[in-house]
Amino acid sequence: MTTTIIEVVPGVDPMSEPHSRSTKPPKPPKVPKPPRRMPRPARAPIALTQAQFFARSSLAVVAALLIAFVLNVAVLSQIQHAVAQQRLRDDLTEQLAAGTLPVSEGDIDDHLVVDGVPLGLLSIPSLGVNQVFVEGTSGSTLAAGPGHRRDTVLPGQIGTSVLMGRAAAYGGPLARIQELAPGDRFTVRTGQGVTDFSVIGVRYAGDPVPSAPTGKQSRLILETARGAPFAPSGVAYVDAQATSTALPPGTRQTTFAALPATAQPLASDTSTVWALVFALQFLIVVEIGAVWAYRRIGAQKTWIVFVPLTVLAGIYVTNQVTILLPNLL
Amino acid sequence: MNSTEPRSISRVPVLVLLAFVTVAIATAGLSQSNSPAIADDGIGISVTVAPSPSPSPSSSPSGGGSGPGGSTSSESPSPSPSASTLPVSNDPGLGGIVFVSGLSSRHVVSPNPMDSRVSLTFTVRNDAKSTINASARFWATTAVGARIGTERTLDIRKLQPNETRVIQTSISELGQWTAVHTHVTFSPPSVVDGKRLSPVTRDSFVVIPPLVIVGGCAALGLIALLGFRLDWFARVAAAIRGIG
Repeated sequence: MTTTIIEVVPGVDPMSEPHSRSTKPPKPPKVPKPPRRMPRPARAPIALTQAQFFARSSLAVVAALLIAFVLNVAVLSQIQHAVAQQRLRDDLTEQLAAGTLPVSEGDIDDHLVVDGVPLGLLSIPSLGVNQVFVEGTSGSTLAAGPGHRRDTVLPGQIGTSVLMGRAAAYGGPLARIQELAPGDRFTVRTGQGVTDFSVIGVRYAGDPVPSAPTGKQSRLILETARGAPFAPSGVAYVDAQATSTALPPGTRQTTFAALPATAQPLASDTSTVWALVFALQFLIVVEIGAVWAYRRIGAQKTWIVFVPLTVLAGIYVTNQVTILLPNLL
Repeated sequence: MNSTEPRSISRVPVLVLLAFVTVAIATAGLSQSNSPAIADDGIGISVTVAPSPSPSPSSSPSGGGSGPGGSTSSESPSPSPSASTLPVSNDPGLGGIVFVSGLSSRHVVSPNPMDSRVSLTFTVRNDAKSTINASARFWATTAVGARIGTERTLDIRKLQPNETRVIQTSISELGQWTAVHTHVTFSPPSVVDGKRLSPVTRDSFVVIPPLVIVGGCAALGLIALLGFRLDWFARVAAAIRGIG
């Protein structure tokens, strides 16, 4: 316990500060200025009915899904394509070194080449295109890179081959092929070697096709969507003729008649709708769980746990929706 | 009554779960029925790969390819699938003797933002045996198809056999239309080397940055920021005066 001793001097208030610096009287307290605007009266809380609350929540979820969809198509799909290309390039390099890259519709073990297997490398220097192309042309397959229509021979082999690629989403690898002019050159590397191609011209659907290759000639057709990005108005075709020696063709089991509808240009692949249903169910379960946790556990913990889960469910749902879009988009 | 209430509540999750499973199974069945005979390998057929007639892969990356490896089909090339499967109209088009590229569009920055300009490039090649004269008409439309900007028609004179010519022009007065479709119609002679030809059109899409709108918004934002800053400066000055 401490004791304070105050010396009392007659005529001086012992509690006031000593007049060491000045003898001015203390300033009067400031009068606050009147506010420029009168404060608004507090709003009365809006009481929503159950139907209104449900409608608001539903619209919020739909808006969030739409934003997630745009982000998925515009940003996430590009990253997915870049990652897929890196993996395909690794696989292609390994198989090229081993000499096991498929050159027909069967692989080295005489099994049918499945969709998504790398077949070669398409290089168009004038457009900065350097893409690994894969077998198959369905929407989910073309997410990884350009796809080879499996009823046609491989690029560089005797006959006509078709490569299809997206124009906007998933990297849009063939977005600029309409800029190719007659006489422009590019190369395709497959398991049989490198083939040089010279561009014949650009066609739209309905235009007459160039005369069919005769003898031991090799023709390549590049296909992609035309029109505004993400709003295709048709298909653009680029015909190219091999200028180097055409290679012997590999056996093809698939004919045009047997080609699945999902492999046609601008077709939608609905074979994975079940995955979209599961994704939507996952999203609904997450939303129900979030509401339950918000009421039982509290806002902070709910945010920490359910925001990543909701984002994951949103990505899953929008990814499945994106795959349902036309394959050349 | 109290004993039945918890039981009814406990039924809800079970019913929801059952509904989810039903929808999932129904959808999976529907997707299977929509794509008949889909094999596990991801394509719509099930076949056995023929054993021998496939070319052997070459490990050398720059070679012209290995031998046929016993392939019989290499001797007789298969008919072009594109020729038989792609849609073909009765319109003769360029008849397979004149070839064109697509249309390339590029926005050119102009000092006058209201006079937006687009540079257009188009290539044509004459594979006919005779020299031809043709014309190319360039124009632009908005996203809904309304005609905008100036229209240009260029004459392509004396295009020699095996000559490739780049046609370049620009369209101006496109205003602040952000999404612009550009078009070119190439009109060859009606008959070349005895073949009937007809005009073809190529399209392109270009984005013109809406500089006036963006600039206006930026100016408004700057004014608002300056106003806020001035107000803040005034408050600081008043506070300093008050201290003095």
